[in-house]
Amino acid sequence: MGLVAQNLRRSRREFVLSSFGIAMGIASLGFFTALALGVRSLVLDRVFHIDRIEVEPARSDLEIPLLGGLGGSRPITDETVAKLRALPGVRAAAPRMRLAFPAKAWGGVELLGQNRYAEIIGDGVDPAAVAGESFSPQPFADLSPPAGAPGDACNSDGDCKKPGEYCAWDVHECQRPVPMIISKVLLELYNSGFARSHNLPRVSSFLASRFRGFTITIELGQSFMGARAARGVPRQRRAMLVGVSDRAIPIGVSFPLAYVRRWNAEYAGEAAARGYSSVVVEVKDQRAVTEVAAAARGLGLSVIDSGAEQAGLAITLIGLLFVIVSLAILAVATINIAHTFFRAVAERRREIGVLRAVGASGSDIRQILLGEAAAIGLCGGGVGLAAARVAALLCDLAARSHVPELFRPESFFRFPPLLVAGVLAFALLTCLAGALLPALAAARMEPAEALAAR
Amino acid sequence: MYTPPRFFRCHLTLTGPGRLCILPFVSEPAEPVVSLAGIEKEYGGEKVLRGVSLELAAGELTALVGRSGSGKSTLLHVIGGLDQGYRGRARVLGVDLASLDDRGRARFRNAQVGFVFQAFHLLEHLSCAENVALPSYFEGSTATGDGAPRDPLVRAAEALDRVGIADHARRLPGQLSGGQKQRVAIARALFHRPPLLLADEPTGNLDSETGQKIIALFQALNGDGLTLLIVTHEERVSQATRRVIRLDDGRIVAEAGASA
Ligand SMILES: Nc1ncnc2c1ncn2[C@@H]1O[C@H](COP(=O)(O)OP(=O)(O)OP(=O)(O)O)[C@@H](O)[C@H]1O
Ligand SMILES: [Mg+2]
Repeated sequence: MGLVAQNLRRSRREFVLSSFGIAMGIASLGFFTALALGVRSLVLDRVFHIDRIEVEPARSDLEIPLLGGLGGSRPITDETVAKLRALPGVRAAAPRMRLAFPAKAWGGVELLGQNRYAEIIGDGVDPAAVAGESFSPQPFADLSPPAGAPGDACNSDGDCKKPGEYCAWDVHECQRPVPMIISKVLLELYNSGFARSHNLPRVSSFLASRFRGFTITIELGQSFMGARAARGVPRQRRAMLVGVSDRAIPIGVSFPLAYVRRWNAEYAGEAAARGYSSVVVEVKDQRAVTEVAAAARGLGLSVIDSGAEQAGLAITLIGLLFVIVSLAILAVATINIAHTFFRAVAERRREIGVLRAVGASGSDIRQILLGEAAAIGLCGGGVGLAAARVAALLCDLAARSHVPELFRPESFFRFPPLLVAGVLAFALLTCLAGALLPALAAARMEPAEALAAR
Repeated sequence: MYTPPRFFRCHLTLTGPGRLCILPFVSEPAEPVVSLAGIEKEYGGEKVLRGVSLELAAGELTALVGRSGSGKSTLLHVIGGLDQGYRGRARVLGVDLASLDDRGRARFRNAQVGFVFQAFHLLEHLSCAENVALPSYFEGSTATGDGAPRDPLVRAAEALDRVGIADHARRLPGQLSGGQKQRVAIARALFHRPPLLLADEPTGNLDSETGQKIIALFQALNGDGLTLLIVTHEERVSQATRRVIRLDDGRIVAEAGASA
């Protein structure tokens, strides 16, 4: 309505001041809601993978969990994995098998200038679970020579003519290195701890691609602590890093399942090779997680607590706290608007009388005032949202130099259309709420009395 | 040229390129424009109007005089549909005001009555033309008698022309003299060409010479068929009208020069 615009133009200062309060509240509301949404989805999707649960064999309460993973409980069989895959809402179920025997590794002289030594914590991952991810310089698959077709005979690496092969000296056979993947978590741990304290170059995702092809030597069946596998003869093999995947074991290295199955059979016995230590179940829709978890429990499995629920809850709670602060700001802004409008109505009594005299009804007056409030709300809301977005942009920019790259998303904030619309509607509603009582009072005013006002 | 408002029936019409009403005022003894019977009004127990009955015929120019506080403004507000808390019967332009709701009264004020006030009551932040066009914001679909709705500012310019200050349309009221302001206010009152104009001390804030010109304007408008009721303190205003009604303590105590 033209009158609304004219009134706003006249009292530009009050308009700006009222809008400012709303803008502040809306800016902080939008900022923190978007941050909570963004961080929540970041943490749940990227760090905890809310669409996945990992199940392991259930342990009875009386049983003391044994170190080494399998313990005394029944391992998961292929049959159980098939049942998990068949559950409604399940997209994929990837079995994992822990290394059930001691192993150690060394390497890094090419990259770090000297060799590093470590015990191997590792497991086997079904290559099907990482299908679609890219690995190089060789695939993440069982590359060992098929039975009955051994590799070329050799005495040293130089004897192996096929590209990428080395000489497994204990069997005098050319083999390709065992593919191996690591997790981003491990890489980040390396960056934030090891690389810093040892003054080594940090690994960005760019450098991580250079890491590919990095080869270490592993010794199966023997640890640095002097522990030896219960059976089998220790031997050395080479393993090659072929990629970084969030499906790799968080701390440790993951090999193709077939290798681990064979090694477990050799060094820990057939029983250790028969079942899986856990299964990672991916659901089609995160909302199905609880149902799938319940179904898995029905199959005699227990769900490994990833902490995702608590993390999500914590983020939601912190977000909620800031939202409450923002609401308090908005409440103050609303009161301020009510105050402004009560004063405006008092100041404009005679003017309202004039409008009544030339044909305004009470509801016309109410609409004019509410129209002004709506304009303040939309302007304040729009400016506030814009401010929130700018602040978010600045934060993301600042994060670029302070937050580790591997976990840094495009943005920590999410402004879905629903949030934008909701926040704008909220700005509108707060302003209308603030102006409602003054507008009703103005509409009830007797025209004759309004005209008589000095 | 002032076109007679709808209220008047035309007795002789020339049809040609347009329609020209030749005999607009030779009306049959029609219903009076204003007809009040036993109007009573009180403010917090204090009686302000004590049974006022009066009739204004179409085309009458009437002055309403009386001491301060005698109830003149109150009576004017009742007639104009600005005041609803009264007892008695008020029929204006064929409508019983008590039968209208708030919206109906607003429509009635918008289309049928023009108000002019002592203090002009112009909105200072609007130009003169915008002030005059103010009623256009509230006009219903049936409000205008002009047929197709036209640009309110064009209509405002016409109304300003009618009161003789067409060249001030774009000025702000603050840049005008008192007499000019009152002309703008009158143009606003005439915006919808109402049949009835109610003026509350229209010359009270003007010097005598300027006031005289405003009175002359009222007389000219009356000559074009407008019915006017003017509240005034001033002798010379009441002398310019054909009929004077005197109010005292909420009662009509004297009436002079009653028409017809
Ligand atoms: N809104 C109101 N509330 C209470 N009393 C009122 C109100 N309006 C008018 N009055 C009282 O009603 C009486 C008549 O008022 P009104 O304005 O009609 O007088 P008036 O004849 O127009 O006087 P004046 O010549 O000073 O304008 C006065 O005593 C006044 O105090
Ligand atoms: Mg008065």
